[in-house]
Amino acid sequence: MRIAFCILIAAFLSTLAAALEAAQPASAPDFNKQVAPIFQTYCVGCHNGQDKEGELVLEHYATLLAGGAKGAVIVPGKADESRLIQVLTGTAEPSMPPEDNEKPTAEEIATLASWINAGAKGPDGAGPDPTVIVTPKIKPHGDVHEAVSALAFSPDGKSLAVARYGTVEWMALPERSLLRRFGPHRGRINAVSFSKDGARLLAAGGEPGVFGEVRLWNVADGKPDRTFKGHDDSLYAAALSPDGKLLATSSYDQQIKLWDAVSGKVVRTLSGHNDAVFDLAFRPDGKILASASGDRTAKLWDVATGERLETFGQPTKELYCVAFSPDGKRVAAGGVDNRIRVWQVSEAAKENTNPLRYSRFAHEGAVVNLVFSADGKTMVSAGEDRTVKIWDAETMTERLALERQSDWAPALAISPDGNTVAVGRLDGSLALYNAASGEIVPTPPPPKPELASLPVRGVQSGTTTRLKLSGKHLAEVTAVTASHEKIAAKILAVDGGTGLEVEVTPAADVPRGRYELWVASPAGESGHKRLYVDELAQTAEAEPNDALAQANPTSRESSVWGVLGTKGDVDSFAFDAKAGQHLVFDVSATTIGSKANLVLTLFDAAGRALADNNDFGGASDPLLDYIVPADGRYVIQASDLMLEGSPDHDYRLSLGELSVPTAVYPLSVPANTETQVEVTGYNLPENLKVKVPAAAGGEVNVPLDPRTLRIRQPLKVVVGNLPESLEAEPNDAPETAAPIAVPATVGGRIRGTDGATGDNDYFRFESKQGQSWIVETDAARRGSPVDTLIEVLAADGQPIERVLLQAVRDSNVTFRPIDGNTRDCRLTNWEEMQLNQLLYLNGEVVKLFRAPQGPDSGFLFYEGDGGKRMCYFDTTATAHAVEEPCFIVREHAPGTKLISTGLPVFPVYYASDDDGRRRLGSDSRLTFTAPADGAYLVRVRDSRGHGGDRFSYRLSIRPPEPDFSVSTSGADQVAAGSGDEFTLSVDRIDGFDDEVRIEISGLPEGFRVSTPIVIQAGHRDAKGVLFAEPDAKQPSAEALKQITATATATIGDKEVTRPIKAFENVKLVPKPKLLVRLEPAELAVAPGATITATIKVQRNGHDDLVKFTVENLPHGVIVDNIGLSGVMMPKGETERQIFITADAWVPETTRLCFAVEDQVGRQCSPPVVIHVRKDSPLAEAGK
Amino acid sequence: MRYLRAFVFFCLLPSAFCLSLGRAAAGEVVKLLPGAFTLAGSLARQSLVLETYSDTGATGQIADGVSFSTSDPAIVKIEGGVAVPVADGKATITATAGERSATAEVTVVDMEKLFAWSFRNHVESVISKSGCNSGACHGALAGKKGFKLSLGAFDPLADYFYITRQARSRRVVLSDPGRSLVLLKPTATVPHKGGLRFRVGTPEYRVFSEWIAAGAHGPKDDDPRLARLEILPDASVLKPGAKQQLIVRAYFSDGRAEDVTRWVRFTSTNESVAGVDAAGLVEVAGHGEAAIKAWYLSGNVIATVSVAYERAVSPEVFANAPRRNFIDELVLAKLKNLNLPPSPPAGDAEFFRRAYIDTIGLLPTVEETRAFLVDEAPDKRDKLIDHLLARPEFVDYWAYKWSDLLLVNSDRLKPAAMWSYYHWIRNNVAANTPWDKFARQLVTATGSTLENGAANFYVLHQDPPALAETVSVAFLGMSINCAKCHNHPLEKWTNDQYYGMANLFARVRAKEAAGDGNSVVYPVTRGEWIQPRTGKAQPPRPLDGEAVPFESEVDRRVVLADWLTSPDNPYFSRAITNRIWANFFGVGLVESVDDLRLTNPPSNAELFDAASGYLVEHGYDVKALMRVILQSATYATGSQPLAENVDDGRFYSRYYPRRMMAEVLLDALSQVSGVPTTFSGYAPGTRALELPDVSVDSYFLKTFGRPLRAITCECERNAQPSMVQVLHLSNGDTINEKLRAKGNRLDGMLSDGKSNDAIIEEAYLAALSRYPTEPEKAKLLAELDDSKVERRELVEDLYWSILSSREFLFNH
Repeated sequence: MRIAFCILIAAFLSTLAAALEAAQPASAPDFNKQVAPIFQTYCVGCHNGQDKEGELVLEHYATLLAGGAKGAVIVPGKADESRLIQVLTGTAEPSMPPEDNEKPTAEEIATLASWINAGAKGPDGAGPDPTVIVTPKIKPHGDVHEAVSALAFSPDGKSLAVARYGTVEWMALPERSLLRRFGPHRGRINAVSFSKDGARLLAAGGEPGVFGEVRLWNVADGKPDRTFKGHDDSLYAAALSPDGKLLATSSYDQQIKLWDAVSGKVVRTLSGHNDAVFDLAFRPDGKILASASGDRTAKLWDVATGERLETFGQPTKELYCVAFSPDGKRVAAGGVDNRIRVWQVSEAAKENTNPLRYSRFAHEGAVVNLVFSADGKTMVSAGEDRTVKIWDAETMTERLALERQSDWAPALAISPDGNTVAVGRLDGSLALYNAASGEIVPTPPPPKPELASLPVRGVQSGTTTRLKLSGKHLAEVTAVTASHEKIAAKILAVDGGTGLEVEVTPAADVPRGRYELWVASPAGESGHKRLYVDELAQTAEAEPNDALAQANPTSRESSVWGVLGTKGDVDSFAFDAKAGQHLVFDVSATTIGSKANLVLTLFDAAGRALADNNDFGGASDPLLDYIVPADGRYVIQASDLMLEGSPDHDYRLSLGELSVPTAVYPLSVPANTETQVEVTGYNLPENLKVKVPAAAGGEVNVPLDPRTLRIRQPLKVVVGNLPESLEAEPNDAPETAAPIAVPATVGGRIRGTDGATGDNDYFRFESKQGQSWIVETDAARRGSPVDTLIEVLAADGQPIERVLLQAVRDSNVTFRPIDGNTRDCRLTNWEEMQLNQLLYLNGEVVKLFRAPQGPDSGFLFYEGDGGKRMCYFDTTATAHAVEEPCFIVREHAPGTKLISTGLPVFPVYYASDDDGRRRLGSDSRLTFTAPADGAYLVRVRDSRGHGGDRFSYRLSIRPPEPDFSVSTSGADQVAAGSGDEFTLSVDRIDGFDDEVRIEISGLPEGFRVSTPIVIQAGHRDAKGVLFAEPDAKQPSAEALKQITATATATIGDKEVTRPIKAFENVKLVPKPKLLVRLEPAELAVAPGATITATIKVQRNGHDDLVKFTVENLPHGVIVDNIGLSGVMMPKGETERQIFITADAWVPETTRLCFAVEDQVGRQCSPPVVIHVRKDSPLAEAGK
Repeated sequence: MRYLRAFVFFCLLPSAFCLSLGRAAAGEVVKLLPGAFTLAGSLARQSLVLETYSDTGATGQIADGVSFSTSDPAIVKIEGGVAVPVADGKATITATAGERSATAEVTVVDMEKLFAWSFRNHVESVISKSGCNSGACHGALAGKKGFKLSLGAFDPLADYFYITRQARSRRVVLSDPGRSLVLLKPTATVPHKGGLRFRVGTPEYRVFSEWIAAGAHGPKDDDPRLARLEILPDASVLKPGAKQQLIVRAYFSDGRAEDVTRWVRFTSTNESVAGVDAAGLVEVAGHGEAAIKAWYLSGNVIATVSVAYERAVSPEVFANAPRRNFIDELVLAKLKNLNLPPSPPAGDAEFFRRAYIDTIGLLPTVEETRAFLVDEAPDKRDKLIDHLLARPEFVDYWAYKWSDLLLVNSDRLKPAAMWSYYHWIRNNVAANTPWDKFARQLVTATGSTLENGAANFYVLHQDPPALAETVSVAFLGMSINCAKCHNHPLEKWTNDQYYGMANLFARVRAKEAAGDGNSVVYPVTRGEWIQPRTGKAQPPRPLDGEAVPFESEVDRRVVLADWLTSPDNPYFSRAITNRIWANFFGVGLVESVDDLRLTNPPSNAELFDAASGYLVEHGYDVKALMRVILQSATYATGSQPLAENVDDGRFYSRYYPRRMMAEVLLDALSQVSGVPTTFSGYAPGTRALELPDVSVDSYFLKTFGRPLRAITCECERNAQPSMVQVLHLSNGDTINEKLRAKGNRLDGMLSDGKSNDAIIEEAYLAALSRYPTEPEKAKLLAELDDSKVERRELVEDLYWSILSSREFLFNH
């Protein structure tokens, strides 16, 4: 009834409109505007291109003039003589419109008459789209659940398209969350399917009685791809040919059309059904099309020629559905006679070659749909009896019936894997069933909303910003919340399941900073996304803005959010500035989680580069400041250093006369008091000073007002534990050196100067002869850009020799240059070098730790922290070029009269650029021993000659407190009958370099361990083995706690013992695939001699080749003659003799070594004692 | 069927016309060379040359019929055309030839003073002149037959040691000098594998024997050192077949000057113009210019010999030739000297395309060309020049050029470092940083290689010798590599100067910083680089600059930068001037551009001085130099040779056509076809000139000579044509794939339903920046009307023909 009502209203409205038009005086009625609508309203229902009642078509001007079976209906200029007017006014038979039909009003007839009298002029331009029907909007009461009219699984089975009136819902499986809506469509969608590649979605429908159309959508972005319009009634079926080139559609208008899927043109129309064509199916080879019609037939068509090949006439009532089996050999159809029929189809499908195979009574009601599974083994059908049945498709026997449906289920689909049946019903409900069990697949709990990203992550305080959020499962979102109570947020619009428009309003007093924003639906909360509130206006870039000429106009005091979305993307922003302004460009990229390694470049209007910045103060986000020399337009450009780009290369660029603090001075404050510190930066109040309250120790944040200052990262100061003071400039020369009472810490700063060596800060302190001092800086570690270089000088400023290094052997770096970190260096002449010799490398002094282990390896130097090479005499590790000369040197006391070796003598002075132990990064540490009573100077400068307000440092001068601690690693999984190695590492403090002895006791029964283990003087590590007897049991935690390990060393003249945490988590594992033994159990070798030993294995499942090393040999004792590949034991063998050689210099010692294999988890032998003894009988025996 | 592909001919046809007017003889004078000299000591001699001069310089020697007279035979006498001292005093020598005569003033001194030959200055020059220390003889690294001399006598101490001491002094007999092996061998008195080098009784013999007789004293620290050399006449314009004796005088640090012509080794840089014999007699062989190099001790000097073409060219040709600025004046003066008429000026279309390619490495677009060609503004070329210099693509092109020079290369730098280096170069181009500041920033770079891209220079080059060599080539246009092992034979640089330069870099250090490819470059205050010859540190010194004291803590690189970029350093401004000049003219004022040796003179020395002076005056603003070059009438000269200048390849009588460089060519192909080239790892649409790095794989670029950026040398870029290039253009996939590509320019024209007329016009404008001529169009229209062939194919053929033509491939 409601439908009829609409039409009435429509007629009324258009009549009224026409009347109003007609009232316009003195002009002939316009065909399109006034005349055609009258025909449309009253006549075209019968006199249309299809029906052609009386051979008269009133849809178009041309056919109107052409007239009908009885000749012309219009005589231009003469309304009275025109048959059209005559039949309308009843002066000719038959009177029109037919009886019981609403008739045109007098005004309308007058309009027609006056149009004819004026010459019956044709349309001026194209007429209005006849398929557009104007209806009044009438709001339904209560919730409406539009029927599910069709379903389709995506080819990957991960999503489902659900067709309803006017829209296709695309939902993700299994959670059934809405991914997107495809629409709007006009009318109901009666058929939906995906293209084979899943990239397109095809939806067929239209408005009944008006037109039918297919819309093709791009699945990825939801954009319409193409529309196929041409049917005169709504469509019931649409199918893409298997090769995707043809689209077949069928309509209530009885036609089947084949379209070129690319051009959208109709290729041919298949006529022959005498009723609505409800369903279509391509044979998988694409050559044959099957159709099912209300005319009670199913037909087969030759796609290539349009020829009708077969008509199946067995059904007794209307057919609603038809489907080809995936092998193309059968076609099934169902309909109002409650049966499903299956015909066998021949290759050519010619008439009478396609016999009926089955005719099954399927439902107690019309069969509304049937579908085959992809493997052809299953068919699902649905009937008007509210049943859905699953069939064995090959025998057409019923496999199972699903639960009784809540309504008819005309929408059916089987997932590509055949496991799930989707059923959509007229009541709008949807269910998924397990195809095998018939059980309903429960809907997973509704997914929580997910937010992908905030397009502009910054909002301006005191203003309202609309944000378009994207993400997943957003359809049900009911709330948006920000992490600050004064940030109001509300939802403006929900755009499908993937978009959301919200409005965010931080109050004016919300402090600048990082907050969070999230959304919530009944299913839960989304993740929290960062939202930045700023008092600056927040804008977003607008591409294209790569070229300077395309720069986005930007307000000078604002933040702009950009994304370097693709490789090579560059973003340019133009702004006006006035002379004298101190502009600051502040980028947040890595600090907001971006992948961009951002570079800023400032250009003037002429495209000249004025300034650029990549990293600021070691942080990778640039900060650029620029004092504008002249009024004008400038462009700031953001790019990735390597021109990389992706959606994750986003950033915020704030620009303007921003107040940005960049550093604090000094870097430390005294404990338990309040100290005033100086803050430096850009556009700060003059002499900005801040009071910092400090407790006993640790770090303190410098309290800064975030409302007035833009703080890139919190500024911190350390609380010192020595007396603290500050340098007083001028102290650039020995004469102006600031006296300090040591021990003390002094804060200083390297000013920026024009000079090449930069600022020098001198300090004076007094020392007694022989007194040692640690002089060190703390600067880069505190974020200062300074790279300190410190020297201790005589009172007159002259350098003090620390040691004389006389070259005794010359060499060169060869093969490849080395960087400042590596321990491995190829040297010429290395055969003449010995372990523990010092090597002078162009200002750097290192010590030889291990000789090259073969022709293709380098000398290894002693190790400092972090695996980097250790430098001696507080020298600094630098890069060295190939061919660079270097020398084995011998140490001599300063002032020693040396006899020339013909090679140079290098004095080393008290100086340190970077800590030689590699612990302090680019900060410096120097151990100074006063050669005489008196005053000394410390000079601090930047090693590169750089300087500036931010170049602060702390210099400490204090007595050394030598100490050590030992840590363990390894020995967590010991296999029964085997050993697991562990490493003991000593952390050496303030120059402690002697040996450390580690004793381990209290082992559980069945376990043995190497003990004692000695970390040799100067070494970092030693290795031990924890060995489990074959019958050992997993020790209890309690038993493991009984193991004690202590490290003992002599510092000065005191023996110091430190406990070690070890073996707390030992786990016993089963016998491994290899067991290793090193024999004999005791070895002895004389310095300079070679002995033999034997590695034996017990193979327990590993028959392949095994590689070995022998660990924890005394320094200078090596496994010799190992060739290029090391110690190997061929496949299947169980014994291998090895040679152990001690260098001639190796002192007498005893140590526990062990063999380790490298194939099945580094199984170790039990520890073996090795003695180095000058005249050992064992050594002789070994020879 | 590419049957169409041979019908379009694009050749640069010489327009034949010629002027035939004789050259008026200028007012000629004669001079006696040298015009004034001192003869110091009884052994001093001075040869004399009577030379004619026109208003532009020396024009030839009068050799025949010259008679000499002296004003005072008691002071100086003439023996065989050589002045010989008699007694202290002054005199005038007069040379007469027919009616012409000229005089020279002579001062004789030190006749009473005992004269001793110096090992360093005299003996060594005899050894060098006689070829004993050449690389093929005893100058070889291993010497010959156990006797070793330093190559070219760069190490007098070592030579002295070998001659007098080594092998138990077997080579000299102090008591009987004539029996010295060192005399017996070169005189072939005893068999000498090196043959006869000089005869007994010659001046060579005399120097050697008298030096031995005087005690065979070695080189001393206070020996007078060669201060400079003078060659007479230093420039002359000669006629074919003419002969010219050269005189070389050496000036020593003690004020003495000697005629050393006899000991000089002469070579010609261009034998086809003029040859020179061992005595310094030049003989003209052809037309053009040659430089005669004279090498004496560690010094070099050159004389230029110009031989004018013997064609009758009217002086009006030069007088009426267009002039815009000093470049044109000096080019025309040279052309006039050589009697080489300039080609007529280039037309608008030719100039337009040329300026684009040379300035920004791009072809103009069709729209730009149309607009320029219809523009009737008289200053439209100047506007174009300013426009090009301000184009963003200018930055791409020149950043690429300097990246070539500075070896931006991810094979040798980590990616982030490579990019940082490239950005640094690019931003400096975009800022139009003056070249001196640019060089200073690079040479004195400190800090993180990621923050200061310039610091990567010290990652690419690490050891001091490599740094010294690279700085010299990059910024002085000079290779000093030879001096690493011995004094440079072709240049004034000595082995000591080499190590002095190297030691400027001995205190540069690099240490590692966090981040991939990040190291920190910084100077330290101690450390020396050892001169291997002496085993001692060489005083650090910029080539011919002042040495820095060893104890100075100043960053030596700053001292280097001061010297390098000083307006007084001629090498620096010349090197960059020559590089820029060569970019626009194809041929450097000095060729090749990084061979700015003294002994490799410019083709137009005055012009070179003026152009590099212009750059200095304009504060090393390279754009200013580019502008003055682009504005010059010389740059706007046509490329069609005249019969009279077809031989010229150095003097800019015409614009020399040359193949576009690989990157420009590839970009041009992309632009004309409308199909960008894709480079792996770079954003779509990235042009070849936008690549920072040469390690991007590209068969095309490799084939067309893209440099490897492994060593700093212009020679890395190969401009040589090859068969592979020809084959690649004809049948390779670069052009053909672009022409076949969907959506390309051809597609656009066809789908817009353009007429054949329009298609031909567009193709010409896009590729050749000109409209087709009527005959060309008529011919092409006929071909395109072929209905038997698909239209697309015909249009592809049209483009193929154009893109493989010389007119397209070349800038002209």
